[in-house]
Amino acid sequence: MKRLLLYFIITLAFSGCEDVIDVELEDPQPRLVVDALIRVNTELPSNRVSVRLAISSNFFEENTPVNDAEIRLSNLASDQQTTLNSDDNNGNYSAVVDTDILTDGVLELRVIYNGNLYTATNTFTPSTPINKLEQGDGELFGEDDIEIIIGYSDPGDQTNYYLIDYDQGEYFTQEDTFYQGQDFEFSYFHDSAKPGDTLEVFLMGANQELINYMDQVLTLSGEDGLTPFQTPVTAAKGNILGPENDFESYTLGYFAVVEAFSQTLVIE
Amino acid sequence: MRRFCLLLLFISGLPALLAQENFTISGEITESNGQESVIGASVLAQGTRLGTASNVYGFYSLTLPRGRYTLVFSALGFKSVSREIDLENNMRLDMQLEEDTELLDEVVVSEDAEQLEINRPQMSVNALRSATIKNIPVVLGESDVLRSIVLLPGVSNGGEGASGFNVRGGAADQNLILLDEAIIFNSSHLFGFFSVFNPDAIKDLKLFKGGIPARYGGRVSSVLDIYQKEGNKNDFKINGGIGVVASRLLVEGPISKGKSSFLLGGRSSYAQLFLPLLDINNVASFYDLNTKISYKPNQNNSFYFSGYFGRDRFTVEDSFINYYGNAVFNFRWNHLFSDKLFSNLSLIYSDYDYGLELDFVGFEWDSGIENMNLKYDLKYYLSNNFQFNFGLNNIYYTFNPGRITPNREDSGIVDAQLVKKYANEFAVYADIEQEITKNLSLQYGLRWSHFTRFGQEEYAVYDNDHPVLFDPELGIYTEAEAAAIIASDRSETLRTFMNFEPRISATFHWNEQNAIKASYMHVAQYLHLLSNTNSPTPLDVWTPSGPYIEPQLSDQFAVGYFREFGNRTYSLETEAFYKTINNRIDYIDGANLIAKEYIERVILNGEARAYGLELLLRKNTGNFKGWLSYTLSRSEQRTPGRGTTLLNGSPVEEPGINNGEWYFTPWDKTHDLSLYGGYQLNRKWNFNANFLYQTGQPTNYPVGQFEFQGLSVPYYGLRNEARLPDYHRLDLSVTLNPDKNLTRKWQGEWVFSIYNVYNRRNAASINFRRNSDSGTNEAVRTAIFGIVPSVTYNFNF
Repeated sequence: MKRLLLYFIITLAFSGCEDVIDVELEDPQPRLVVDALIRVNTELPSNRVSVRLAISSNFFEENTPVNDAEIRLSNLASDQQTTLNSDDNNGNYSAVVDTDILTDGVLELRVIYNGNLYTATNTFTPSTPINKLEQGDGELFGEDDIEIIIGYSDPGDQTNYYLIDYDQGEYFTQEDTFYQGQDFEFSYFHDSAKPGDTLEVFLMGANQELINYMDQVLTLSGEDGLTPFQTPVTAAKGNILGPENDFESYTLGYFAVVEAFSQTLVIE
Repeated sequence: MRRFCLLLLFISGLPALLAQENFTISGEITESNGQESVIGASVLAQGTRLGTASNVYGFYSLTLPRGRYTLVFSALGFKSVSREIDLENNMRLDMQLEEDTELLDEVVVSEDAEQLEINRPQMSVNALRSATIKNIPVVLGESDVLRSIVLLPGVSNGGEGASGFNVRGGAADQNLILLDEAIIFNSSHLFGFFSVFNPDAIKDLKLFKGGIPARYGGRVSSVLDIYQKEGNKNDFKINGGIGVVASRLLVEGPISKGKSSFLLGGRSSYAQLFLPLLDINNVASFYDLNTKISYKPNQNNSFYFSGYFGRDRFTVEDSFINYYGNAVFNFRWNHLFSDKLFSNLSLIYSDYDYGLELDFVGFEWDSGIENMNLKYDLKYYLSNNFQFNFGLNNIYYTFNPGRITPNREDSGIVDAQLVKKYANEFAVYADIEQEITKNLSLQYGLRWSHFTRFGQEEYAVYDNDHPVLFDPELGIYTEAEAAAIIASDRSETLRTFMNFEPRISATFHWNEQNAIKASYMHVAQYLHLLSNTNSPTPLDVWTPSGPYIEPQLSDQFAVGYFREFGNRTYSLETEAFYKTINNRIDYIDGANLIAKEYIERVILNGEARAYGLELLLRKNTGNFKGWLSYTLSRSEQRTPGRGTTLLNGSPVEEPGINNGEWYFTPWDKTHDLSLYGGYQLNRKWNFNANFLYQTGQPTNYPVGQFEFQGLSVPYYGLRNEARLPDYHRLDLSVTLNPDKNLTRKWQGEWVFSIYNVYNRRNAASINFRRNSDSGTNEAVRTAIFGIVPSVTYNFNF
C-alpha cells in the first residue's frame, strides 16, 4: 500500500506522450539467474518444488536456459535432501517434497553449475487464507482495467508482509502496518486481464527482505508504473551466494519458501 | 561569538567616528500611482559618487557631509527626479516616482533592481521584475516565476514537469524560498507544471546563488526572496487574465487614502485540466489566494498583514483524492528608530499540508509541516560607507510524518499516527557592508545557528548506533532492528547542533564599469527533504536533523568579473564557483521512504560537490532587451562505505552506494544555454522569443536483463552513467495591445504564444520495460510537451 501512494501521484498525469525508441546497449557480463520462489500449499501432504535457472542477457534478448546444473534442496535441521531434476529444455527443475520438510527448519538450496557452487538459505514464511476474491465494477486508470477485490484476515501478533500474485505477470506487495490484526480488503486494478480469462491469484507470506527484493524487481520491470521521474535504479541483488566473495560478481535471483493460498477468479 | 561581534563593530566603527559634520537624509521611495514602495531605486548625489539604493521596503538612508546637493532618484520604468537640497540638518525626504509610460523612450537609469551593482560586494545574485517574468513565453501561456528563473545561469531543474529547481548543482530542497519573508515548503502546483507564485501579486524577486548574506540561513544552495505588492494606496484597481489553464484576478485599492491599502489576488485553474490528455475520469485543479493589508499610520511605522493560501486537488473517479498546499500568515512591522536605524519585525505562521484518500483501500492520509517563525532584522546606516545589518530568527517546527485513518466503516485500516517530530532553529547574525577605499568594498558577516531536536513520543536506538546494516556476503545494505524503543517527552532534548557560518564578499572596481568580485560562504541546513525520485513530489517528507541525521554543511567559493558597457545598456557577468556539501543523504537500494516510521534505517551519509562557470550577457534598455545565459558545470555526489567489516573472518571494505564512487546528480547538465529576447516594435506589438539548449540529464541504461517469476527485470550497474538526448526548444510569444486601449479606462492585451515551436520530443525519461501486448522488451521515451500553442487575455482597469 505504501508504494501505491507514490505510484498514483506520479503516473496518472503523464501517459499520453510515450514512444518507443532505439537504444544501443552494451553486452552484459553474463550472470546466473536462480528463480526459486517456492510456493507451498500447506493443505497438501506434499508439494512440487520448481526452480528455474538461466543466464542473464542483454535487455532486448532472451535469457539462455541452463539445463545441465545440479540442484539440491536440503532441510538443515532434519538433514533431509532432495535433488531437483531437469524437467525440460527450458531451465526448469523440479521434485516433489513432503510439506513438513518445507515448513520447518532452515532450508538450503545448492546449485552446482560449471563446477561452481551457488547457495542460498531461507526459512518458511507463513501466509493467511484468502477470505474473499471477487471482481468489482470500479475503474481507475481506464475502462480496460479490471477491479479485483481481495480480502484476508491479518494475524494480529506480528508484522506481516504479503506478496500477491494476480496472475499474468502482475504482483503487489503489502505490509500490515496500518491494518494490524484486522479483516482487510482492498482493490487492485488489473491491467492485462480480459473478460473470459481465469486468473489464479496467490496470497503469499513474505519477510521484509523478500518484500524489499520484490519491490526492486517490480520497480525495475515497470510493473509498479512508469514515471516521468526516474527512481534510483538498482542492481537487484538477491540472496544467492556465488562462488566468489566480491561485491561485483553477484548472482541474480532469489530463494524463498513461502506459504501460498490461492483462488481462481473468472473475469466477466 | 559576542566578543567577535563587538570586535567587528569596534574596528569597523572607527572611520565613522572620525567623520565630521555629517547629516542624514532618509525617506521612502514609492510609485506615484499607488504608493507601492520601490525596491532598489537609486539615490545619487549628483557630481559626487555618493549614493545608496532603497531596501526591500522602499526605505533609504544616505549620510552626507553638510552642503548643497542635487539628489537624483531613479529606477527602471520610472521617470528620474532631481531635487535640490540644503543639507543643514538631518532630514526626511519621501519621493514618489512616476511611471514612465512612453514605452519607446530610451529610459536612462543608473540603478535598477535587475541591473548590476558594480560597486557593491554582493555577487551571484539575479533579480527579476514582475514585468520581465510576464514577457517570457511559457508553456500554456501561464507566466511563471520558477519557469523564468531556470533561464538564468546556474539555475536548472529536473526537466519539464519536474517540481522545484536546482541552483549551482544543489538539490531542490536546498533552496530557501521566501514569500514576504515566510518559508514556502512546496513551490509547485500540478506536480511542477506551475509554481505557487501568482505573477500579478509579485513585485520583485531576488535569487542568491552564492555569497548569501548572513541574514539568510537554513538552506545551503540558494535563497529565492520574493516580495508581494502592497496594494494601491490611491486608487481602486482591478487586473486579471484569462488563460487556457487558469484565470487570475487581482483587486487592490486604498482603505484609507494614502495610509492604508489592501490587495486580494486569486488564481484558479479549470477543473477538467487533464481530461483531454487522458482517457480516464480525473480532475486536477489548483487555486491560490494572495492577500495583503498595508497600514502606515505615520512616517516611522508601517504594518503589513499578508496571507497566502494555495491548494492543489487531484481526484480520480472519486476513489482517489489527493490535495496539498501551503498556508502562510504573516505580520510585519517596519519601524524607524531613527533616520539611520531601520527595523523589521516579522511573525510568521506557515503550514504545508498533504492529504490523500484512497477509497479502494479504505483510508485517508494526512501529513504536514507547521512552523512558527519570528524574525527581527535591523539595518543601521552608520555612515555612507558603513552599513550594519543584524538580527535574530527563531523557528519552531512541528513535523507530522503522517496520520492514517479509515475512511469508511467497513475499512480494515486502523487509526494510526506516525510519531510527530519537533525542532527549534535559532540564529543570530551580524553583517557589515563597508567601503574600505574608493575601489574596494566588503560585505562580511557571521551567522550563528543552533538547532534543537526535541523529544518525541518514541524513538529507536540501535546496536553500535547503526540503524543500517551491511551484509558482506550478499553485498547489500539492510535495515537494522531497534535495540530498544525509548519514550521521551517534548521537554527533553534528543540532540542539538550549532554552527558558525561566516560569509564574506568583496568587490574591487577600478572604475564605474568594471569590477572583480569574490565571495565565500559557509551555510548549515538542518532540514532534509527525503525523496526517492529525482525531483521532488508533493508526497516527499521533510525531516529534521536529529540523533541519526546530521545537518548538511556547505562551503562555496565564487569569483567573478562584472562589466557594464554602452552607457549601461549592456552588462556582462561571469562567475566561477566551487561548492562542497557534507552530510548529503543517500538511500540504500530498494529503500521505501513513504510512510516510513524509522527513516534512519534506509539512509546513509554522503557528500556532494559542484563546480562551474556562468556567463550572463544582458541588454537592459531600449526597444530590444534580452539576455544570453550560459552555464558550464558539473554536479556530483557520493556515499562511501562506513569502514571495514568482516567477511569469513577477513576484513573487507564496505562499498557504500555506487561502490562509493562519485556519480552525477540527476540534474547535472554540462552545458546549459538560454537566449531570451523581447522586442517592442511599437505601442501595439511586443515580440518575445526564448531558446534553450541543454545537455541531456543523466539517466541509466540497463546492463542486463533477467527473468524472475514471469517478469522481465532489467538490472543496472553504476548510477547515472548514461545521458538522455540533448534538450532544446524554441518558444515565441506576441503581445497585442489594441488601439482601443488609448481611449478607454479598460486596458486589455492579448498574448499569443507557441511553446516548443519546432515540436521537438524532448525526453523527460527513458524507461525500459516489456510490452504487455507484444511480449517484447522495449525502450520507451516519455516526452511531456510537444508544440503547445496558447492564448491569454490580460486586463486591468
